[in-house]
Amino acid sequence: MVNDRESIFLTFQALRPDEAELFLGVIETVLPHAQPQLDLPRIATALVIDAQMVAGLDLRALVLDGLREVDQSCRRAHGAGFTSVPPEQRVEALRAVEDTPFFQTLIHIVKADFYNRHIVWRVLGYPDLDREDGYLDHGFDRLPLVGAGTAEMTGEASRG
Amino acid sequence: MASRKEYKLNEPVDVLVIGTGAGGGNVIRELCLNGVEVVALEAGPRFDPERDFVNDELTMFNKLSSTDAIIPAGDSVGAFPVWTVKGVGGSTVHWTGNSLRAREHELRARSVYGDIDGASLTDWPLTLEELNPYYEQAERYFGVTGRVQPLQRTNANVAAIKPGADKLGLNLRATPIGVNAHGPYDGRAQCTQRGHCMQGCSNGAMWSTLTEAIPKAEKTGWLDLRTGCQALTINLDASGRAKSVTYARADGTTEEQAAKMVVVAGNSINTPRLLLNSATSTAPDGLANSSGQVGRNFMCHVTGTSFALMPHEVHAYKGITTTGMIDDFSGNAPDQVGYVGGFNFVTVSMGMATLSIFAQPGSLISKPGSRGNWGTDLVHLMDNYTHLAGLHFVGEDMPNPNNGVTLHPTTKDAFGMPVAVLEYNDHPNNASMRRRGWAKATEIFEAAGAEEVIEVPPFPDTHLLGTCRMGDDPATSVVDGYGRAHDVENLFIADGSVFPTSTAENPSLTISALAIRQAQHIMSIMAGEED
Ligand SMILES: Cc1cc2nc3c(=O)[nH]c(=O)nc-3n(C[C@H](O)[C@H](O)[C@H](O)COP(=O)(O)OP(=O)(O)OC[C@H]3O[C@@H](n4cnc5c(N)ncnc54)[C@H](O)[C@@H]3O)c2cc1C
Ligand code: SF4
Repeated sequence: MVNDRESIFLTFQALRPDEAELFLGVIETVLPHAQPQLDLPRIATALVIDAQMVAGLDLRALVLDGLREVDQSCRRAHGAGFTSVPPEQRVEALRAVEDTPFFQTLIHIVKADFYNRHIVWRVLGYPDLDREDGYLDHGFDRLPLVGAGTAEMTGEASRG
Repeated sequence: MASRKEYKLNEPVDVLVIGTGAGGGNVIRELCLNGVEVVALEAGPRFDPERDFVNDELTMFNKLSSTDAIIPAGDSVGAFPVWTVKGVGGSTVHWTGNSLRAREHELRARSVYGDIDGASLTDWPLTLEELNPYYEQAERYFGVTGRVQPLQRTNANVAAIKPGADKLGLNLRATPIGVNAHGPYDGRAQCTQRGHCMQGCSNGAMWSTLTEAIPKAEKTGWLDLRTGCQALTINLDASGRAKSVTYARADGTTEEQAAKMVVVAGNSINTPRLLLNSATSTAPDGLANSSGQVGRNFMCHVTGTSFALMPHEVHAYKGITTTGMIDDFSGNAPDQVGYVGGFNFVTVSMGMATLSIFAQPGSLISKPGSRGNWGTDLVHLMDNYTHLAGLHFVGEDMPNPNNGVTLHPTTKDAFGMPVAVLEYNDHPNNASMRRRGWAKATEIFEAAGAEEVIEVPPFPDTHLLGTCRMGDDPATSVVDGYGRAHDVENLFIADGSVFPTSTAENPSLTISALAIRQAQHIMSIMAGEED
């Protein structure tokens, strides 16, 4: 868990700290994985998109407009901004913009980046890097034995 | 390897081939092995599998996939409509190797299915019997399991689904596949069962023209392969024969290569695009288009996928991506099922990033109004990644003359070539088949003990077929049974665009068999044995 959220927001470049906080809040609502090890990759994904927005002015405008709309809809409905409302109201605010190009673009690039990270694979049980040599001799052709440790098969056991 | 041949632009080369994928690659190999001079133009680069292919979905998608603009039209074309590779090897670079022969009844679709409203069904101008010897040759090159090499051991995904298939009396078994499953074959390495087949096989265990046909052709010394060279027009002489091809190099400069014969194999989008762009005053509607059929009858197979959440771990990503099949639904039984034609199931898995996007694709890649998943739905799916089993179906698509490729009147690519507009509207037959495909997948998964089944809509099209259909009648088809243009006697088409109907089988083996047959025909014409 990264505790110093303020320093995180100051690390963004295309987004101001308050925008970064809002942006990360939206990404956390899009990817509400409970595993604490996934906090960091969520931040990393937000930073990667921030970096794309430094030069990608169209993307930046799309994201900023969308974030503003989400935040304002929360203020109108609940008297508080997106980052201050509870999770159910955050979900409600995002549902309201679900069909917008902003939201569809955002979830596409967020998912593509986040789920392509080694740490996410490891936490969710996909051993990729541990099996660069392939599964020929590592149980490709059989189901893991129920109740048996899966480390032999996968390098990492889990159901996320 | 013999030193790279370089033919002169103004000296007509024996054969100029456009595109190096399944169709082009096979023609090139056959011609070169028999001492025919070939210039091959390939719009994309050449990848080195060992150096360039990494086990990373996103990197490989961005590296391999063609992002050439295609403008979608019709009710069923997504924003990212087709998934192809632009590079040496074409889409065989990241195919999944399923190598099935077409079925006898499918080659007689019009005779067997009858007159289906809204479908331009026709029979193929050749029979399965005529094709079989060429299938055998293609299978030897691919090293198809169950034909040339022993069938592969299937993976954990198949093991998870098998109890369900068995309970329902369905025959889930290893699918014939162009992969060296048991050891090296034809100079290519053994499969390590690593998965990642759709990212390009880095050790060449899976057949592709990049790793088999093109290197073999190069070794002969007869091939002049020009990468980063996009054909813009095929030019005719005064007598109406193809005399040359004008192409653009990556830096935008153009050159014109003279040729005695031209073979086009750019795929079902780019081949009609090139023919339409080659219109002249004598062929105002496009080259080889007196029938008006160039660009028509685009087909892409009826597809759908289902993922099942199993109560136990599966780890479906281990091993060859698509390694098991069920063909119990491939027959034609309209009275029982309410549609003509059939489909095959193949077992499938996806990497995490691809699954997160394609399990419920949003409007960025799919049709307008599509919603990508997020929040708890997404997390539920991805947290259970290791427990997922997958089935994908591929079925016969009905040809529709209004589905196809046209040139956009104003939008052009970097070389000034009009961008393709792809129109596709789903036929009611397809919709019924797709419903049954998903329903059967659910039955199988439930019989296997699934806790939950997720239906996944069709991916961007990977099997591009039709648009230059073959047939005996020049009034209703573009090419004859050898892929030779009815209108231009020294012009041939060698890719999936010549399919008059789609069949239900994955197409590359058939494309390859047809291409081998075509190359032999070209050589007999050159030898004066045929006109
Ligand atoms: C993920 C995926 C999985 C697949 N799995 C299977 C499978 O299991 N079994 C199966 O049978 N099929 C499969 N396919 C489909 C298979 O790859 C294609 O059907 C096959 O490659 C089509 O062959 P083609 O010759 O028509 O076109 P392609 O292989 O696409 O080749 C066309 C080539 O022409 C080049 N080109 C285009 N225009 C020009 C131009 N103007 N000038 C110069 N060059 C040009 C392109 O760059 C390309 O290299 C799969 C496809 C994908 C994407
Ligand atoms: S699983 Fe086998 S065929 Fe597929 S990419 Fe890996 S080595 Fe190649």
